[in-house]
Amino acid sequence: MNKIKLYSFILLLLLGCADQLQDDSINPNANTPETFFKTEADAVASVNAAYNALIIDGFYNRMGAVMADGRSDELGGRSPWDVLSTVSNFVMPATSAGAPIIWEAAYILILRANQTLEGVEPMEINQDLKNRVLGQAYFLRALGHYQLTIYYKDVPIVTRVAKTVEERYPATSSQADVWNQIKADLEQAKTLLPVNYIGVTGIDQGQNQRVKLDAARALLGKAHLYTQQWQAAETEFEAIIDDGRHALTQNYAHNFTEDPGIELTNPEPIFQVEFTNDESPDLNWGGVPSATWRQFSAVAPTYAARGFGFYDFFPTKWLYDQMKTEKTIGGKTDPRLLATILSYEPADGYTTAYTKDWLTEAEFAADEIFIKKFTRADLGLTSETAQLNSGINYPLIRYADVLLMNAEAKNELGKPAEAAALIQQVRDRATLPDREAEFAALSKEQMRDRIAHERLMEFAIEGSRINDIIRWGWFNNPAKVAELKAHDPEFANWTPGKEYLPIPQIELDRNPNLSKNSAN
Amino acid sequence: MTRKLLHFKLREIKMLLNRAAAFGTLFSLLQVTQLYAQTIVNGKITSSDDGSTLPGVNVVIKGTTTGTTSGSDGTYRIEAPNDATLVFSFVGYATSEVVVGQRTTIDVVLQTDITGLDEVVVIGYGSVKKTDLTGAVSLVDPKELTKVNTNNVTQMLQGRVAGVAINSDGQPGASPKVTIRGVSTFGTGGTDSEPLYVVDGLPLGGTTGSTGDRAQPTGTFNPIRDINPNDIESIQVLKDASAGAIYGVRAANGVVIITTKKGRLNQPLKVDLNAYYGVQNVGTKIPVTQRENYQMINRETFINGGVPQNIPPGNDPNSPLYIDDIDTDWQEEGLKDGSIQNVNLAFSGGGSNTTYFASLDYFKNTGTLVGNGPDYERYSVKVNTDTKKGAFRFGQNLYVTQSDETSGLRVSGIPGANPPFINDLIWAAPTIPVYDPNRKGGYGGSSGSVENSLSLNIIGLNSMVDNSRITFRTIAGAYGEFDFFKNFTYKLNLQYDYTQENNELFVPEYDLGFFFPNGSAFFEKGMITRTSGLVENTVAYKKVLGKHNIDLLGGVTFQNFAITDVKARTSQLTEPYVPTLSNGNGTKTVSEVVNRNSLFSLLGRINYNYADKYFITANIRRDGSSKFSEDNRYAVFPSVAVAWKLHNEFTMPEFIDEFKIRGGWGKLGNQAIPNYAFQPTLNANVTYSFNDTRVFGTAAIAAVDPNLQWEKRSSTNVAMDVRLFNSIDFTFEYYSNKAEDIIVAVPLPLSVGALPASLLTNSGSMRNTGFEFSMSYAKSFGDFFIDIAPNFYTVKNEVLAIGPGSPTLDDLGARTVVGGSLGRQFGWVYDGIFQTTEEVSDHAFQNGGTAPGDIRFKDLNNDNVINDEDRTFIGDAIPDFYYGLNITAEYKHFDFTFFASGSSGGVAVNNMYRGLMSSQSSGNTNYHEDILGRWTPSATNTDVPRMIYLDPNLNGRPSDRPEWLQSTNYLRLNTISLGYSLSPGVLERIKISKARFYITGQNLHTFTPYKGFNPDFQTISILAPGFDFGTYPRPRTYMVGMQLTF
Repeated sequence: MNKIKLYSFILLLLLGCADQLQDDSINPNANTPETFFKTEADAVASVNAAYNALIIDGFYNRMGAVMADGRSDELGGRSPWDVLSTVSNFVMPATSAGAPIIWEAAYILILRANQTLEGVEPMEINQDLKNRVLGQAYFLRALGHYQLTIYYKDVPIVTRVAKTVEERYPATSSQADVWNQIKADLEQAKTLLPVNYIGVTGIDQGQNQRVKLDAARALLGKAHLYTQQWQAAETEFEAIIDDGRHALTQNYAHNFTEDPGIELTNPEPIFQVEFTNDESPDLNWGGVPSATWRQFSAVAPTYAARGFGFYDFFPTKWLYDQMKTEKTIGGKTDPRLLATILSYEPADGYTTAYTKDWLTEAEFAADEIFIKKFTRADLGLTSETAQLNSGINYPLIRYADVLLMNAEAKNELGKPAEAAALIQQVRDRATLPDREAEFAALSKEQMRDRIAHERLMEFAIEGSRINDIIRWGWFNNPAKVAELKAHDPEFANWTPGKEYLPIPQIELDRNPNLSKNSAN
Repeated sequence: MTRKLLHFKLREIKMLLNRAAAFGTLFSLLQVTQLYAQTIVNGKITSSDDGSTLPGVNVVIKGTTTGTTSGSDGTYRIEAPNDATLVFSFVGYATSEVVVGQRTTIDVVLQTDITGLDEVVVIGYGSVKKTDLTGAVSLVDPKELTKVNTNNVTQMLQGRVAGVAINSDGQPGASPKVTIRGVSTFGTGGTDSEPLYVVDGLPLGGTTGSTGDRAQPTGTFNPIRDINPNDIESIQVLKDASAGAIYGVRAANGVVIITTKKGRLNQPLKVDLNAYYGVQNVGTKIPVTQRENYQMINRETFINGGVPQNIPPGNDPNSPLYIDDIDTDWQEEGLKDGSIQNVNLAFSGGGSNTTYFASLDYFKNTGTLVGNGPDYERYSVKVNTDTKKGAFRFGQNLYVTQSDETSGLRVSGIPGANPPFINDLIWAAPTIPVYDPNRKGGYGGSSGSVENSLSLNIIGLNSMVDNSRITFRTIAGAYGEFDFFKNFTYKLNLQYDYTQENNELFVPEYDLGFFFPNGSAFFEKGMITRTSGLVENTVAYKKVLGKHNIDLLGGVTFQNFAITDVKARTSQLTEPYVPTLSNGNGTKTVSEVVNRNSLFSLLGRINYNYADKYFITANIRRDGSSKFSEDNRYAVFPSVAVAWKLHNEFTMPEFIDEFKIRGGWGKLGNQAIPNYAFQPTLNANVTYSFNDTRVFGTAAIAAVDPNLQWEKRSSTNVAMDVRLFNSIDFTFEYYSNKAEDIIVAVPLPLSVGALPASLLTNSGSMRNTGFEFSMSYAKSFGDFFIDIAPNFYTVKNEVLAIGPGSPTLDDLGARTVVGGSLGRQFGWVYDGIFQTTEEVSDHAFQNGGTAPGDIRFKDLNNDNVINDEDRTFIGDAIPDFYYGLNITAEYKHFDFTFFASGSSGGVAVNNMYRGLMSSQSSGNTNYHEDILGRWTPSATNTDVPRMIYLDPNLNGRPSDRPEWLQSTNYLRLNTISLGYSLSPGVLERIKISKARFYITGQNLHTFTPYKGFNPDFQTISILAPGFDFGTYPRPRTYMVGMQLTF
């Protein structure tokens, strides 16, 4: 009897310990996937996580903007950091720590979008909300592939969460296939997205900076432009213009403010990435997200003027001169120059930098120029840490872009008059003289150059220029290459194919199915 | 008023209770037990050394547990049958056996045992005689321990134990890295290569909870750091599986068993007072350029780069902003003398049944950097008591400590405070002043428009920032033992380890110039609570049957661990600062992470020997661990070892006293990985904002292998122990350890999108093999005694498998591949300096900007272009061999100690030096004087390339250019000490039983070609063992001390 007691005691002890092991094996800090994708809140939370990828270094927090502008003829580089200097000189080696930055961020976005698509699809929840969530995920997946192909050209297409070993090693797809995938996703998104989030019912109500129908149309139109599907592109742009939900804001500079009042009422952004002015301790460069992530834009410190930030880049003299070529109707400097470049313009009343006197306090020379767009040069910030909480949003597609892209499509379709009207519409906002009739008479080739100039004026330092000149084929045109070299001496280091970033060496090392690109 | 009174009363009562408790303990010490009378034997025990009487000697009737100990005057009294044999044993003396016969008085002279042949070695859940060991167990001589002045136990192992490598830096409170018989894990995914520490039966660790921030080697919790070395009686290191398997899934990296001091039976109160004080300074000065050379080289860089307009105005003599009145010697300004001091007061003694040991200890080490630390200060109290009565024994141990550490700036979140800060001090441009009243905070900095230098004024930063960690720790335990039936002993051991760390960081608003301002004062406070509880039941059986000696052990243990890490932060504090969490106006954040794990184990051991000739030990342990999924929860770790005492088998030549061969095999595990690693989880803190309002998203961000298991290590050990001429001992060992199922963060393509872009899976394999040789020659020549103990060992590492597709594991310029050793240097091959443009154009294409003065790299694949394909393995970081030499000499009242250690055959990347030799990304910081020998058109006979802005040829790339890989060969004079003990006559007069005074120099000099502070630097990544990120200089120490016994 005693023995039985003893044995049962030992048995209980052992069983008790086994239970303890099981209890202690369960992570008390987080939920497991089995508990997720049950409620509408889960569906929305899932797609929110995808947006988060847009605010990390490899997207629009910094590199997604900077690595485009740095390569263009708009900016010269002076960074001591080889990641930035090799990019702006077209000599980044595949082994550079900079090579995977964009790549990694884009695939993080794609993974999260795929998680949403796979997780939300089988859910039985309110159909409208489900459609909205799926629509956003399709758009964001397309945006990931878009970012990849404009930076790296031929890349793997990933449309599933990798579950098997094979799925982890996708092969390179041709750029044409990547564009087809992007378009297919955006077509899907168009069928699912609402026109806005004001009228919807659900926990996302009022969150109007989510992806909307017009954003899918605009990005789709842009994809058609890249693939020279002019008619299809025009269709998308016309739809946006026709529905009248967006317009040019009166004050060009309002597109680059961090004042929430202005941001919320600005009708111009079709899709923008949102940053906030906050001081949470963990800078949102990337890595494992936490509740204490800051959500700032690092473009501000990177572009800020000497003494006010890292001053890694400066506008080329050529850009400055280009923006000075035309005066406004009132005989003043183009307001877009004043919002794009920080320069000493006493004739326009601009004699300060960061609220300090240009010559005596900031100690700048009268002929020095710095970047203004996306910096906080109006705020009088004296230190770079203050730059480390810039809340300036990054406008991915503005209504002005839709107008000028539409003009481009129409020119290619042989409708110069319509193109000229669209161009002038954008110029009018800048109060430049009416030259619509003059432009309407341009040849197709002349009109291309005009559009190139107008895009430069309107979108300087917004990540557009390098991708425009790649899609316009300038790198295959010796005359254009010579022009670029004249604009920006960094182009002297360019060799054919190096207009793209190299496929990261660590990725080539890891994935045997991956091909090199022209920049490797 | 009444409330105050009540409070007072309560305090008084509390004090009274405390006193009563203290007295109670004392009374219990004085209890006496009675013995049954037979034949009474009396005697006096004296030492062969000086004829002094020996108290506390164990006197046992052979083959029984009956015994006593000698009293304070060295006398004993025991009842024993006439045919009994009395066994006299005492630590430090050879055991003596005497047959009683008809005598009633037996005086014994015990021979000092300088070899420690009869030493008892603690091997985990038990002990054996050192001569009966079958496995690879190294013992650190307790006498040696008293010669090292350190706050850290692990530092005592350096250079003394063959096969144990200690890498440390000189930051007060920092914990050295201990590697036993090579690293056998990749460290990816948080696996750890630290050994398991067992203090008085309590396995520590399991509550380490790495922060994952590798730039903060002291930011993680080291379970052994706050254990007071003065309380330690002995340290043994279990190096192979045959010894370590009893600790199962935690033993793969070796086990360090620490036993703390106890009192002796029948010894009157003995009071030991040990104290020392020393000054410390940084003995090495890095030769950096002063102002004029700095400015000259800086200008040359921009001129060569074709951008003279980029010369910072401060460095341009033609500019009105040219700096010619500042020439800061940052090392002179930023380094100061530090100090180290320790006072230890220990009480010990015992009655006939109870022994006690209690100590009070104060340790303080102030660092050598100007500013708020790093400093380390510790208070500790230790109380051990043991009592026996008949078949019962019980005891308790209590250790209470508080340590205060100002850990300098090894924290993230401070603008520019990229650790290690010593690099910032060395790199800082000489044109920047230390103080500048015009900047907020009052310290100098670089202006973007004058110096344009990325120099951080570390003196300023370290003076303005407050970063402290207060650690409270209590280890309390009790055991009870009783003998039952015949030969059986049951033991219950209960231990509890409680640690609370309070971390505070306050960063005021300051302006340290371009790139290093802090615009918003912030305050951060964290509390980390770590607990561990142990319940251990063991039953031992001991029996001697003729020539058969049997010793069996079985046990059940359960240990759990928990860590709660809470952190809060606030910002925008306003002046005058009152740093509390309530006082910030900015965003307040708070976070909490909870970690728990537990281990349930069964263990068993057989020790058997026949006729003191043949020995066999077999261990087995079955561990159940909550760190793994239910399917992978249990693991069995067996081991077996044999030994053969040849000298008891064969007739040996006269001069051979002992000749033993032994060998063993066993399996061990390593579960030192983050908790819950097998479990996919969701991150619900994936934030974004809509309309300036934060929203939270949820995603599965990491890739997880649900079948993740412990790492396995099988080890084979063969050895020979020989003792010759009664004075020379040597041990020669060969080991081969094979680690399998090593957890590898197998790199995933980034296109998977996982964070981190890797999958933790059991796919690696590695082998470490090596020889260990240790020797001791100890002999007395009249008044002169000498002990010379050299040791030497090798570690050869080979990676056998990494994972699917055999990926490479790359880190910091090092690459790990199958077939090679861990983390070899990988890069391009230096082939001289281009002297002419023809040489450039004749050579394979390197870069558009390549010109004379640049480095020519070898075109290894002959494709006429230098690219990534031309990289190869260019150096091995792991030394070929390590060695140590201890010499102790005594002459009359003088004693002398010499201790040196070193290693040979490794090469390393000296990050600090590279920063000083860089023209590419140094951000106009300072240069090493070696740069004055750079290539210029008029000085072409050099291997230092030209200085050029942006370094178009990438001269700075990883390569074997002569100054890029530096030999880490070193020989360090660790300790030279001279002591004087007062003679017995003098002692008699001043009523002190022992008094020794000494002077010691520590870390006096290091012979090395290495151009950094520490050739045996502590690495920040297992996969880059040859990357010296920059370590806090190990100071040179001069100290005086005394050891008094009352």
